[in-house]
Amino acid sequence: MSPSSISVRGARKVYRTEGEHELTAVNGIDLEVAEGELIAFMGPSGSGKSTLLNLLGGLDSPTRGSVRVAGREISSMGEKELARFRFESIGFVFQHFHLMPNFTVAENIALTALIAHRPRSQWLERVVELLTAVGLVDRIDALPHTLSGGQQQRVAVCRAIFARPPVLLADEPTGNLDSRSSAEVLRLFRRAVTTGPGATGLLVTHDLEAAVIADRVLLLRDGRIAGEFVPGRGEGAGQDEREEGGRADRIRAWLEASSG
Amino acid sequence: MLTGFVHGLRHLRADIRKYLPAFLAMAAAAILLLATTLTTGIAAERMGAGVESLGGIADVGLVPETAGGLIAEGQAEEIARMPDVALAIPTYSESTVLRGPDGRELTPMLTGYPTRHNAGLAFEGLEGDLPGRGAAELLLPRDIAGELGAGIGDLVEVLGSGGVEELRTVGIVDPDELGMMAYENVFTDLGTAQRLFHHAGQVTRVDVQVTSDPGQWALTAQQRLPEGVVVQETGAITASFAPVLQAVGIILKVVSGAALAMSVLLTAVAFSSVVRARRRSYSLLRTIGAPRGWVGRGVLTEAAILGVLAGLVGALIGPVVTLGLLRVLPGEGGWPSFPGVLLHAFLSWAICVGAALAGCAAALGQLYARGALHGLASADRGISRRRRMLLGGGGLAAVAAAAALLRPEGTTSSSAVAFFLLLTGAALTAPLLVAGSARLLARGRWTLAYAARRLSAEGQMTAPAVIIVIMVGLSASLLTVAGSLGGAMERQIASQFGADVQISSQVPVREEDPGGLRDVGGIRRVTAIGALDLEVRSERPEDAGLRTSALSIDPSGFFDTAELAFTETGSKGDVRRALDAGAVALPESVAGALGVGPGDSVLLRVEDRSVRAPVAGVFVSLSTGTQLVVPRDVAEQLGDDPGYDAWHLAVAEGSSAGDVRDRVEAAVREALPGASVITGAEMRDRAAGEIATYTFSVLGLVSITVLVGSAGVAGILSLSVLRRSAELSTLRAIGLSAGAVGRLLLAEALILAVPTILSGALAGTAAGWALCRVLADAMGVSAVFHVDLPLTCVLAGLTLGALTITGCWPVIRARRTAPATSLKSA
Repeated sequence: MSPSSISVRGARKVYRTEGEHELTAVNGIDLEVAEGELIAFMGPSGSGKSTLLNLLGGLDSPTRGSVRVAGREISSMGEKELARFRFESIGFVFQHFHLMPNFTVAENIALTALIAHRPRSQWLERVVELLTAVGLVDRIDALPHTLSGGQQQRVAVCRAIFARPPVLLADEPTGNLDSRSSAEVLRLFRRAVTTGPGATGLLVTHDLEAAVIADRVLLLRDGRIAGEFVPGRGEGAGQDEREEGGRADRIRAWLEASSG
Repeated sequence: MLTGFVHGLRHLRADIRKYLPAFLAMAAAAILLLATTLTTGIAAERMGAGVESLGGIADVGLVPETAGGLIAEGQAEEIARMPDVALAIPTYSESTVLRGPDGRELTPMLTGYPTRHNAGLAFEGLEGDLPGRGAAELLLPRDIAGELGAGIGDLVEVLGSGGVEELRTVGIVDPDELGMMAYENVFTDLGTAQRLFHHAGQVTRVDVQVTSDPGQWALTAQQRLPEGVVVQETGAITASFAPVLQAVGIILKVVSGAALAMSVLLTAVAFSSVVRARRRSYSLLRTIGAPRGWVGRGVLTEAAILGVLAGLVGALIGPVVTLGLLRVLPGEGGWPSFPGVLLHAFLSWAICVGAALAGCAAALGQLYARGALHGLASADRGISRRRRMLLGGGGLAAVAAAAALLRPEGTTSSSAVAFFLLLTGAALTAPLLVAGSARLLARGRWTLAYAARRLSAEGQMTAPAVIIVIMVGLSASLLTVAGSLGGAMERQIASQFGADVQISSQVPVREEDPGGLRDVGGIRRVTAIGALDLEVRSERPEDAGLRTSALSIDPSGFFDTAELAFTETGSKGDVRRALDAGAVALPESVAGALGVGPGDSVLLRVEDRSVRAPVAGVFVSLSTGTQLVVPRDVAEQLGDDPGYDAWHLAVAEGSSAGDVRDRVEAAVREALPGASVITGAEMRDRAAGEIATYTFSVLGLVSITVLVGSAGVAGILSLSVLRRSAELSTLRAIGLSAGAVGRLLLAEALILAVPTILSGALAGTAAGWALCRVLADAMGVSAVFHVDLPLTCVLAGLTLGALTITGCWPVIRARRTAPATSLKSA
């Protein structure tokens, strides 16, 4: 088995709400994710999926426990260190794309290079390569508001994988897309994990069609991992619709069984 | 039932934080508006009360027709015989210096009245007696007696034209019993006053009690009054004070107007931002059938509630601020009645509500112009390039028009229009300027490029750009006015009052060499100067005359110690020779009003004597207003010797001005009580000190404007941070530190502030020149343009500092944006 890219031990996240009530969003999770693995987190609203993703992406710190990502213990990092960690090690894909409205497609993809003050000549080739792969090279100088939702999300995926980060995180990446655009984006995300050098992917979704691209599906409930399902290896969405449909059915059946 | 009103109320409660800057700005504008309205009203009232107090003791006051004139007692008797006149009381009043038993000095008005009327005067609180006929006796109001430290029987020294004379205090009376008549007045017998000032048989006014309606009597009596006597028009006296009041009023109104404009802008931004944020819910409401009017009423309700509350705050705090302002205003009382205050408070409240409604108009326009599905589609893209070009074009046209109006022969109204056009033009071009500057930086390093691109596309940044330009422009104009008028005044004082040692007496005296000045050691030359009131007019018979005063000088000696800043003349030597030959020098404002210049002649008149005199030169005058300079010969031709009230001394070589001043002070102490003896350097220091006080007052006003404006800008930036939380949190999520996000905001603020501050300072300086001309015209002085560069730099620094301090608020808010927000927000 490949070495662990992500290792979580007894992670717990407690939020203090108004009136000093405590809300435990993540309640003692243990998790190992190997390099090159793609995990999908599923579960009802409030089950702790997004909180767990925040902890793994260095967007938040656990109240207790250890979170090790890409070989670094991030649970004890300070604000600045976390920012640096995110900058170097994480690629994010958001449900609402969040492209910078005043930057062109190319600049949005190379955002981390711009922040690092790298000249255009050093990143343009990589941008063209990514845009060619997603079929948007002709829109390289377009502004985001001129693109469709699917195109914007493809640009967002390109931005996430631009710097070849070891960990890719996606939070409901197909939540705002139609089924055709969803399939394109999922295929892209799967390919980024599969072809990236030692990349690991984490995906939070409600969508069965999205979950089928994962190597493992984890079901979260009340802040704990309530079950794990391995739908079987495949090349990903759209490769074999029958197999994909079969995996989706198996996941659905497993989810129903787990809920029951 | 969910009415538009209830809907608006709920929305207001939900978005109260977004409205906070606009609410505070509106409340500040309402406070300023009410405070300035009340203060200027009360100042006018107090001035009026001061003038009325001169009116005195009867129904109608009769005074000499010409400035500085007198009424013969024979004429007063004629008046007493006129129909419906029950009583005619002639009085003689002259400003003087009193010195109490322990040396304390006061400068009140000495009024002589006919003591034969003593029997008819009944003062309940009178202590002692009334002054006797022809006696050297004084009646003092209790407040003045207290200030002098004089009691019954004490001798008080009084300075008359012939020098100092002692009068015995025989009576002390409650000032309330004397009424307004007692305002800064002490009383003696008419004959005593006439003797003290060498005007036997002459009075300065006659108060008449009539048996008919005084107003009607005054109207009909004018034709039958003795020649040279007129019914006193107190309005004319008030009018002479009006220019200063008008100047102060103009400045205060401009400042409160600008505050109001800024509050409207802030309200517009707040509503525009709020409506933009609610576009989805509004569209949803429209989609399910809510009529536009219903949605619009909700927004109007929010604006009305904000305006009503801010107006109420203004109405409550405005009078308190007025009380503070009145502490620095001379005089007492003058408060309008409670209904009067209520009316002013209501008006400022109504204006505040109007401003709030005007502020929400743009947002309402957005709502009405768009279809039901608009908000469900995409977000707005801010101000369009075309609209920005239109605004910029309009602004440039306004600046060009203003420049055209500022031509040298322009009028007061054209200067006033130019002032507003310059500021408006600068405000309209501000968005174009910011966009242009941003475009230049858009290819720069990351932080600048990011901020620049946002600003070049962000419509919401129009309002802060406009606010900065207005606040800096207004402040620069006020500082230019202060610098121009103050600097020119300082220079005039330094040249015209540049004698080594100067003496000024409160009362003109006949003695040219009081206290034996010429015998004091260390003095090279003594030049005595007098003052007289006169009327000056051009030779055109249709032109009205101008009442003013004049310095009567000896041209050969005066220019040894003083200079005049001549504008239209040949050499200074030519002017001296012309003055020696009987010509006069006119201040620029008088020459302009009469339409005369060097080579023309003017007619000078005092009572029935007039002299035709050529104009030797025109000089810039600020500190001496409309005062003419006439040679002593001309003054003597105009009537009685006006006496002397100032002496300029040139110190002999090797002597110290300070030592000479001390010796002179000792020499004139007895002859000229209350006289000021000062060296030229002290005079300049004192002038500089007073001007610095005024400049600091203006700087204080400017600081308030800058702080209010900066808070507004910070409020808008803060709203922008709230609106952009998803974008900022995305940047945080991909690895930007909190500090880096804060620096992005700072970069935005800098790109916004630097060009707008520069543009505001430039336009404001030009607008200051226009305002200078308006105020100079209002005060009847020369307008001199002078840019105080250090002060302008202080303003730029102050604005940047204020923006930086207030900018901490949005920067902190931006730094606090949690990276995880990007995972949730739309």
